Amino acid sequence: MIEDLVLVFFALLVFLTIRFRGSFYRFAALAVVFFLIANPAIRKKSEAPPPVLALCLDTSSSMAVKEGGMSRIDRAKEVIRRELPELRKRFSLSFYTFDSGFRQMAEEDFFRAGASGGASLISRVCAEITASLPDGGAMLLLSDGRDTAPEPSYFSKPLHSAGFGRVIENDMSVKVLEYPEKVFQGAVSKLRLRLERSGERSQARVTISRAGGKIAEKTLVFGEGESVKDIDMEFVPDEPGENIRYRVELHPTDARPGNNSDFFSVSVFKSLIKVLFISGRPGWEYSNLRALIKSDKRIDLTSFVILRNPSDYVPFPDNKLSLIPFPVREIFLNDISHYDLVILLNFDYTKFISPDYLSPLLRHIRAGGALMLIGGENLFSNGNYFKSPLGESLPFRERHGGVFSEDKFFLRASPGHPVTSFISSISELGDVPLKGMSPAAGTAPDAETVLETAEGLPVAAVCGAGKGRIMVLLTNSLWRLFFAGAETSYFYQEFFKNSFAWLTRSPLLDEMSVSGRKNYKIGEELLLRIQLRNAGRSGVTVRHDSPAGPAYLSPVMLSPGLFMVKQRIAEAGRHSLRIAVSGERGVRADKNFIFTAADTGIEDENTSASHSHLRDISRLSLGKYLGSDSFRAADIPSPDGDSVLYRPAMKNYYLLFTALFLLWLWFKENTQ
Amino acid sequence: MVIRPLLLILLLAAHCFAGDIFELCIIRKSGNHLPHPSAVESVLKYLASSTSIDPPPEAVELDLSGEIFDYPFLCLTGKGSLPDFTRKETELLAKHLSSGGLLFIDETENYGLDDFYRSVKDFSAGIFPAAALEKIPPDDVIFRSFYLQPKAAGRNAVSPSLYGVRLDGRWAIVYSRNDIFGAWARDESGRFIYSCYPGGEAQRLEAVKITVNIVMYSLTGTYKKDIIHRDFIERKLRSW
Repeated sequence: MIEDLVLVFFALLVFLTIRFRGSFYRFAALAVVFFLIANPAIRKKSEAPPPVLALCLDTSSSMAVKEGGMSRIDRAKEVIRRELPELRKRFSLSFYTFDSGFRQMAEEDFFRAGASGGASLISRVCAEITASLPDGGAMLLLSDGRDTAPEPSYFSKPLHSAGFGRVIENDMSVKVLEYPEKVFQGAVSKLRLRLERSGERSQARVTISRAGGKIAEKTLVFGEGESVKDIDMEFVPDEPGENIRYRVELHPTDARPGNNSDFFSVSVFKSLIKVLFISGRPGWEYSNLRALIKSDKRIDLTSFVILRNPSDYVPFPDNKLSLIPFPVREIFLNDISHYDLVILLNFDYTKFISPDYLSPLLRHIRAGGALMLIGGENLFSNGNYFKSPLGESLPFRERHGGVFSEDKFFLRASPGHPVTSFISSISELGDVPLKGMSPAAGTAPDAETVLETAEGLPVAAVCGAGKGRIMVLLTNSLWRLFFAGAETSYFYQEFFKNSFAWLTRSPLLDEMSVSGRKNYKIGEELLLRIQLRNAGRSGVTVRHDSPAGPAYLSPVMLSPGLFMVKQRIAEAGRHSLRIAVSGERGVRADKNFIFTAADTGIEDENTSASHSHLRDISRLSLGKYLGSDSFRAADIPSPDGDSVLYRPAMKNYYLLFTALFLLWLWFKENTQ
Repeated sequence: MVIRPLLLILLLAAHCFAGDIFELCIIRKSGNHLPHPSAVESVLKYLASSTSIDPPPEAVELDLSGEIFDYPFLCLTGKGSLPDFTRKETELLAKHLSSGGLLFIDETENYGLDDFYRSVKDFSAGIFPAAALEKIPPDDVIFRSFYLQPKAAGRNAVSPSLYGVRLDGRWAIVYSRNDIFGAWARDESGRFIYSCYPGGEAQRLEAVKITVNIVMYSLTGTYKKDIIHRDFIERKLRSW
């Protein structure tokens, strides 16, 4: 094109330089320039084969929707049958069907195809088909335009389209995109919703409810031309429990009530854990630990300290003392199950109760409760707890005849346990001498050591007991860490906070939390958000085991410690994701996330046709949108129509002739 | 620089008791840091016989150094006025008390002057400039940590109140102007050395009670403010 313009410009220059006014030369020059500008074409008879036209029929399930007694797919076939003779005259036809993938087939199979596919990936499939066509080819898309996954695509050949099905007015749908895996009762929690609309309806009210009633509501308004809206919605879980199901609903319902609701399930943890703390006597460990617990607003503390032993004599009447009777019977026989965590610090129960009183405590722990035993001269004295119903469930074994040791020792924390994994590297920990250790023979086979002496003797160990957890800390001298310095004070506080969280299975201690839906439909996009507790030097790998086989997905880091995994789901069935977090010492944590993909496509929820999508695709591909199902074969433009036209003004020999002619004119006029 | 405090800690560990048992630590600051040596023994004996605290029979006497970090309860006694503290000593005390420690100051003699009171005020302002020395209200938990509503009594009756410096909701410094230890002091035959004025033996009993309460407060904090105690305590108070 540029070359043509340059040539024309050059010709005009030459023309203007002609000083000779002879009409012949002038006319000749004008004729040459006119011929160049007009660029006339002559239709030429061609022996080349007719261009290829690929007839592509959408066989996704939405094409089975019947309107006016006939399904969309049957209507498309009927139109093609009607226009087939004319199409054959002009094109070399090839036949395709597609849903989540495309298939080329014989004409008979094309007309036998049913609408049974799940997803219809129109954009992707059309891009693939147009790429496979020969030069000069084109495509005719027969679809309702419901694209399961609209995505930007490049179409290398013209794509003409005809739309089938009715466009439903005023339909709106809601879908839960993301929600947290675990939340705290009473804490503001967030989920992400996607709302889609067709038609004029622009306003809706979204509610979140559970069995007890509505817990959140939000009104939203679609902007003009806006058809998809992702919104964040907050809710406050009211009751704790595992996998509590919440329902999200759109109000008022509309033409398709089936897509006006969705659900999600989360585990709700108590925001306030009830702790019973009994100390055998006043002491610095009690004092510090109590202050730490009281500073935590998530703990409801009930505390008893034995301020006076039965053998102590107080020379004042009882009403001058602030002491209250230790309600041992009520606590151990009646109320023990109300506490999420029981802490017994240097408490020799044998002074107050018989071993049988500990049976309800054991039952409570096995049902999901937690126990922390902290040492001292009274803990394990005469093997008391080992001889109680709790004995077999403790993470330590009895050392017969053992006594409270007053030897000095230094502490080391296990880097492998969640309680201490982030604080084990505090080097000052090993500089503070501690004194005082309750006797124990070693850890139980299923126990895990959390703290140990520099020589490797266990100081604190944990184990499971049924659904509950137990920690035994053999020393009551950790308070010295609190006083020794800022770093060890931090260790002290974090150690106990983490211990409480681990014992009560709080999500606060989860190395990672994964949030995402657990039920999808084919064609939907898996959205998984992975939040790490410790962002530093962590790598995340995600292995996806789908019915089609294993594959590794690439998590994208959104911010330090926050990763997102996206994947289009193509296979129905059970999918499993194994998410591994690796640190400096190898895999630090792993988790399985299981979800299912239903056999049906997401389009089943809303069967409104979307002809505007077809129009957009045709426009992008330089093809033609043929309108609804009443199109004619003659409406389809011939692919690459210009190739049969002969344009002499643009041929090389004509351009050469023009250049020589103008050069001669110039030479003639300037040399005479 | 790093090794020195560690050595101190190591030295200390050789002396201190195992576990979390209460030990009374007297700060050795002036020549007369313990005007009533027998009083400390009496206090510790009483705590052992009438409470579950069961402390070791002897108090620890320490200079102000890193060693104090093994003794959350510090005791400072004196008369006239408090001795001067170096900046390093002040910083050590500030760190100790901020970490949860408690300093009990007992004024053993005031000679009818307020010099000691003023020196305590200056001293506490030097440690915690943002916190003032104030009267501890009579309904504070310190007055019900073991005995109910004891008077802030001692050998003398200079002030009906205890004073204190509040830090993060707790009393980090508790100061008595009434020579509490003087009320405990006994001679070799076990008799009280000083008579309590003006209340006599009743005043001494109040001094015994408030001593126990201060120690118990350092070990249990706001324990007696817990809801579970409130009704019991109110009922007992109504029975008086």
